[in-house]
Amino acid sequence: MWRLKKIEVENFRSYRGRHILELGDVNILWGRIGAGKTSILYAIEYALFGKQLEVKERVAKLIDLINTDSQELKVSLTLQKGGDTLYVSRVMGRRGSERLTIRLNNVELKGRDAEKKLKEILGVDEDIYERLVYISHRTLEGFIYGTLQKRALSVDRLFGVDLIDDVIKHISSFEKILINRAEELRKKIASYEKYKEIIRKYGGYRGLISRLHTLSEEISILKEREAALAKKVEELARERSEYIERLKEKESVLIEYYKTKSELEFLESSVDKEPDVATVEKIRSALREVLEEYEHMVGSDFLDKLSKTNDLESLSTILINAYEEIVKLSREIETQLYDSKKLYDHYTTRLRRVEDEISNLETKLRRLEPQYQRFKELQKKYKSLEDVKTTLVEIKKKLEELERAVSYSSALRTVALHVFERGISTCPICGTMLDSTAVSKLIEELDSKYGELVKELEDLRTGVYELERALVEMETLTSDVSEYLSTKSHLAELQRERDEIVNRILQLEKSIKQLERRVEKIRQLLAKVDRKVIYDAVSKFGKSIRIRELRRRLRELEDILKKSGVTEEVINIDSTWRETAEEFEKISSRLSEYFREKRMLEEVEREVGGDVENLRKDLDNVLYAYGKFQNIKSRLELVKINTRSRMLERARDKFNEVFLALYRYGDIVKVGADLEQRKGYYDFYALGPAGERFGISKLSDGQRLSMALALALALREVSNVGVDFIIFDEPIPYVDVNIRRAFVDLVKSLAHSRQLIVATQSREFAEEIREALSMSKFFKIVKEKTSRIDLD
Amino acid sequence: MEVLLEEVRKVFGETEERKLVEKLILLYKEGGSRAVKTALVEYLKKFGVDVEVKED
Repeated sequence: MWRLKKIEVENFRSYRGRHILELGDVNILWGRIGAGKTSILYAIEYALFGKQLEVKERVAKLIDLINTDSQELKVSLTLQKGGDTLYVSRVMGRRGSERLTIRLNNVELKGRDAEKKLKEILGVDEDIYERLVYISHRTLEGFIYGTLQKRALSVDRLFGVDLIDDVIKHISSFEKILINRAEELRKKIASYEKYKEIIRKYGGYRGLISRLHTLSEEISILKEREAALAKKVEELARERSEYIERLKEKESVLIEYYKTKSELEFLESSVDKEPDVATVEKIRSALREVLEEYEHMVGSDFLDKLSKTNDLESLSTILINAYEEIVKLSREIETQLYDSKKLYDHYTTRLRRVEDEISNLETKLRRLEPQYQRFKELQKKYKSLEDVKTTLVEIKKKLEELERAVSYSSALRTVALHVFERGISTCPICGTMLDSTAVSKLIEELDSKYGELVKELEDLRTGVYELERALVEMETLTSDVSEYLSTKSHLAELQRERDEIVNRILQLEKSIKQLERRVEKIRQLLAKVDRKVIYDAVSKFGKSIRIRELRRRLRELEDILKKSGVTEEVINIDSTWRETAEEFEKISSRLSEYFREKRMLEEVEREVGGDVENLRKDLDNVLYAYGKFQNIKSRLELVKINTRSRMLERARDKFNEVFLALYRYGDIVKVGADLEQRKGYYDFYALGPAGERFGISKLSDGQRLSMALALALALREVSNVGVDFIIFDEPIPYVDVNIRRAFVDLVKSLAHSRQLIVATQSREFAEEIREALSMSKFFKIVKEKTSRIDLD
Repeated sequence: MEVLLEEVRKVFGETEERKLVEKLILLYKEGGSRAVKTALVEYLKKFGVDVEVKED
């Protein structure tokens, strides 16, 4: 394994220039505090691992390693293993540039290749070097004197488990940050509730901040304005002081003058143009013109009042009353117009319906006309239907009588002919005697009468036939005639109704036109005049009158002042002074308000500091991250215990072996370590020759020191560390004589197998080692202007 | 160191937290406190938490 043969330092920390140490197997570096012992030890570490010194925070900045009077440092080591020689050289300039050169048996490497090769050759990284090669009192003290927990920390450091503690420590510090942040956020959220109304007033937190910025700008502008006004007020006051006597004398007049002027200016600024009295008259005339048409409704007294009222208050009232009367009339007329139009629509609809009906009836009459005329003809010929029926009965009776006479005549003639032709002298019917001449004469008479009877019969028959036909026809026509007559009567009624409707419609048309004219007239007026127009006009009217009065009074006051020597120029100076002073007061007052508001907003900004939704979200995120860290930490604790257990397992046998090699007094025959169950701390123990078990608290300081060193060396063995030297930097609390002696004994044992470098400020301790080991090299480190190494 | 990293893998399994812890251990070893703090600051940013760490 590699042993250090030579160390060369040049411009390294307190070493200015070049200094060389030729090392032996046991090397003692002795010097007072700050002499430069640790610099030599750092030089070894720097040469081997470069930047790690800064990473491990042993030096704040790497360039601090360069001697203050120099621009560049150089550290070279010469190491030897059997026949092999390794030369390591590291150079660093003030700008931080670093160059590593190694040479192994004349093969030279530089830069990254050299770094890689160096680690490979030595079989040790900075971490292992720091734990198992560079041993300080921190490593040993905790083990010897510490509590269970402290001892655990020391052993963790040897095992490299302290890395977990370091990570946990960092996570814990972040947890603290998170807790503080969460607390801060909670406070802010609580503050939000407190200032909620204020924030809402500004439309949310952003609005509030925006207002705060604006406020700052406005304050700055107002401050400038205030300063300018203060200066101006001062100048004007100086100017005014020349006329102060005159001004004081006429103070009451002046005050009235200013008041009058101020009121006048205010009134003049509130009216657009010149004083206006015409508008009121125009309105009054327009209202009157409309109302005159309705005099019967509103009354002549009212119209008189409207024409004559002139005092402001009554004028306003009468104009408004007139306006309201017109509005009322407008509503009434519009209602009338609406009703009339509705009635008009009703009549026009009705007219259309009546005309349709008339048209239908006329068609019907035309259709029934021929039947009616025919009936009239028949009536003319046969009179009424009843007459026809009576005549017919009479004729039929006559016809029956005539038919009986014809039959008798015929039968008699037949009998007479039979008698005559057969010469029968008696009547075959009654047996009466008959004369043939008489019979013959009878026959002649019968023949002659019979012809007349038959003709008469024929005529009667024809008459009956005609009457019967007329009767049938009249009966058939009767219903049509009846319908014709009723239709004609209905038609006449409808025609009368139509005439009435048409008349009504004409009347309504006239009325509607009249109402529409009235409505339009009122509408035109109301489009121009309303309450506001009236009030404005009356107000302007009043203002105009007041303006006239004020102007007159102002002229009077100016005359009074002028006569007293208070000229326009003096008034101007005084009034400008007053106005400026007033503006100054206003600005100061506004500034105070702004400052109050700003202080309040700044308080909200300080206490709340963000939008509440974002604050809540931030709080959730912080708590979530905190939970994650808690979880990681608890699992890391488990990792730590598991690693402790495995590392113990790995080192256990070697630990016992190395201990027994170092500790040769025979009262301890075995050492070992377990993990205690409760908290996972190390439980170191020793066994006596009779098998008795001693917990670490029962062991002496020297025995504990031996155990600590044995553990470190055992770990070196199992870790395949490639260097053979051990550096002890103030390894023990040298004030304790017993422990010092024990350490000297251990060094003596170790010196057989390891190269040792012991740095101490204790001369006694250094001398004890020298006495115990005659082959040791004793280097005295001295610091004057620069540190120096003297071989003693 | 190998033992330590093996145990980290066993305890944390295949999780984001394991990656973080491995990273923190290696960073601490190589870059010290400052590197670890920087890594933790970055990790917190993933959760929307922005912290500023004062230099010791």
